[in-house]
Amino acid sequence: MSTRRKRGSLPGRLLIYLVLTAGAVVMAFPFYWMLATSVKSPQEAQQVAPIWLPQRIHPSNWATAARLGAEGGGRWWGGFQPGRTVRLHIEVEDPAAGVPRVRVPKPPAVFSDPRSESTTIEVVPTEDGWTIELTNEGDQTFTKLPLVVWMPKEASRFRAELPPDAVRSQRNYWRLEWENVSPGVFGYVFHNYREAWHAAPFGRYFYVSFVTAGLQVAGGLLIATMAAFAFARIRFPGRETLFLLFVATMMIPGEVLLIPNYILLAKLHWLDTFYALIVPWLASVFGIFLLRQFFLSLPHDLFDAARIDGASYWGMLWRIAFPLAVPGLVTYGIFAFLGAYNALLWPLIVTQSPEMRTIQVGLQAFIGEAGSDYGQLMAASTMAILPIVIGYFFAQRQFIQGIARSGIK
Amino acid sequence: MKKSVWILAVVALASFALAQQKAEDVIKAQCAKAQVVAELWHGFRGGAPRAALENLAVEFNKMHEGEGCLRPINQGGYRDLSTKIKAAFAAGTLPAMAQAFENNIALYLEADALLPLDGKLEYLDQLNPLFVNAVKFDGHLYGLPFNKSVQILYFNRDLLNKHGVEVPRTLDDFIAAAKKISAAEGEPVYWFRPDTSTYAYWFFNMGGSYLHDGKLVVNSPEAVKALETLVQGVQDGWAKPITSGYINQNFGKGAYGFSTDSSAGYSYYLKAAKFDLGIATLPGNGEHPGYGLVQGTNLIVFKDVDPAQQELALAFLNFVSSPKAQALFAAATGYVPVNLKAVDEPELQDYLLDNPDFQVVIDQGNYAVFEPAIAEWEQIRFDILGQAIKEAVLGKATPKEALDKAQKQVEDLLAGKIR
Repeated sequence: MSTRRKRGSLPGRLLIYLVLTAGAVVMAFPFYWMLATSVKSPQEAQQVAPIWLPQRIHPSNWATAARLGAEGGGRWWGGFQPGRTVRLHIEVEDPAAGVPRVRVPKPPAVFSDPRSESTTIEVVPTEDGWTIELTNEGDQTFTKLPLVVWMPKEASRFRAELPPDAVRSQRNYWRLEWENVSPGVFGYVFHNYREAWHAAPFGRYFYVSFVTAGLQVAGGLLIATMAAFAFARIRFPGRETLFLLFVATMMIPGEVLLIPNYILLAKLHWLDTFYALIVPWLASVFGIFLLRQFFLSLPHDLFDAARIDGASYWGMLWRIAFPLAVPGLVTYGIFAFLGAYNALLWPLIVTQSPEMRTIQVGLQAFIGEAGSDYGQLMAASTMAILPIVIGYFFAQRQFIQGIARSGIK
Repeated sequence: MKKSVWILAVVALASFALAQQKAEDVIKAQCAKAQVVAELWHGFRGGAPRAALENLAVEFNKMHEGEGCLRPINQGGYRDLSTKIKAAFAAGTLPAMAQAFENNIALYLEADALLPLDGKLEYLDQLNPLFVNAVKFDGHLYGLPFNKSVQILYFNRDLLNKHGVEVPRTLDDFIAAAKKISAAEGEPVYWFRPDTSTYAYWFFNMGGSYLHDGKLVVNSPEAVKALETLVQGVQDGWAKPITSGYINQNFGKGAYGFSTDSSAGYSYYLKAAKFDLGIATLPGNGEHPGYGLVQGTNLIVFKDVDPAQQELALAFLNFVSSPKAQALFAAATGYVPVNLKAVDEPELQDYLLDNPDFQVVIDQGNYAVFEPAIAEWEQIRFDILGQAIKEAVLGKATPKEALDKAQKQVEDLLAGKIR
């Protein structure tokens, strides 16, 4: 084909591919980093020297994770069932340095903790170190078994079967921490995902986000199409002034309207309902503006012909303008969906029960006042992005055209 | 291939379903049955503080089964929380209680929205008097100090040992120690964030005070001296400004020796540090530890809400300020126990056994200072004073120039000339 000849010589093509590949790597890097961080322990996630392959994706650790998981519960997801004993072996160079101190930590500020109270701990000496035996003497099953071990520094080098999630120096001891010593393979690799999923009701958050974004797009499209058509194709007195007024409202930052809108919603008793999440965003000036420009670009003759054939405005809108404006509608739809899906401040202010909160509000759970839990934050972000990525694969063409057409991101 | 994916998905879902019940769900069930529900709007987005608060609420609700239920509701971060409270105040949808900084309290008092707590706190005489004083306005008590963190000295014990340096006790020792190690390491080892908090440590311990005869002064001679010390430290190579992220997020980028930072970051510091991280009370004047800036919120009760909810709110205040609850809360979160008797509780003793350094936080709580409790303080601290400090540290203005400019802005703001 003629196009193929135009692409030029082999070195030239190689260069192009090289540049494109480099570009792709640069663009994909943050995504890789998110995925890698989502399987890191908190200590790994906070290291400045980048860790490209976190411990949890080293296959050599999976066998140990499976064995420990099987001892406590199941090979895949681990757990700690009644009557089971989990044995963790730690090799040390100099066992004479002293017996390590072992503890099952408690969750924050609980009055009683069945897990640590019903777990008996035995530290058994072996030829090359110590085996920590943890037995569940109670009658409850636990999903995780966290552990803290203080290893005397004189013991010199040590190696735990399952690498600890954190190693810290504490005076004369190394303090080793595991988030779960009975993880199973999936429980080990996907630890952050499981924790993140449990940290907040993400199933419900997804539902609320999708219903909100879906209805905003559907309702927004309907209203914007009708308004845009009126502004583009119907002559009425004061049309330009009215349009100018509409566009002028884009100049007012949303934060200014936050409190008045909140009061209005409170008076309507709409707080903490889907109405509050959806209704205020149905009429989008941006959408009206975008579609109006689109309708204006359609040839006049089409509408003249329709009028000669006796079409009403309504008929012209739905039979002629609408089908021809699909690319514009898709563009607006994508923006409206992403805007609704990514909205944070508005949903945070107008809702308060967990049943009405959106996925972006849910992600806040991992940001603390003096630091963040990056592993879990990235795991939750991956879950939040997944639907958008899947949607992107299905609607790739429209996405690219939509963004390219509007010229903005 | 496809089959295995499905199996994986099913296994994943099944395991999620087997989850243990969350505190949030327990509270929801407790409140569904209760006749009176008092809401507590808070700014703990997640992590240990939120978990600890929810676990305490579960316990409180168990004790008050049949009478009422306390429901903690997160409203984002502290700034989101105060935005929402302002909106709710205008709309008349206030909760029974909320978290509030001292300057928030001053603002809410302008609208007369708070219930005075005089004579209503059972454990008042056991509470840290410095913290209690900060929530007294015109002689009345308007809050219960709740999650309080205090500045402490963080240090790298391994690095100090390597250079044979003792943990500094006075400001002069501190600067000398930082200079000595920095010279030996060839890079600055005192790391600081150029913000109002770090600056406050130097300012207060050089005898500074923000209020002079009821007037807010940010360019006093002590203020200029404190800022000059920091700027000089950067120029002399013993102090390094950290402008991106928290200090603990920069571990590994060079030699870390000291920082003067909030105790709220202790658990994050611990997670990030591979070296032996030590903490100590702040270097002061030699006679006693230095003064540490207190941050964190108080619990307030709103005035115009249902009396039954208020009663429940007061009961919760008494519950969370009890020695036992404070011991649990402090051990879980690293906040300073506001009840001085908490340290005698077995829960905190037990925690101190594993984390002996935490005693430092308790001790530092007795040498605490506060920033001025005026409604505009938040804006001043971030947008005016904070900017001035950054400009001076980054060399865009001299400390004197930057602070004089800030003083002018503060006066304009307080006079209502700017917003």
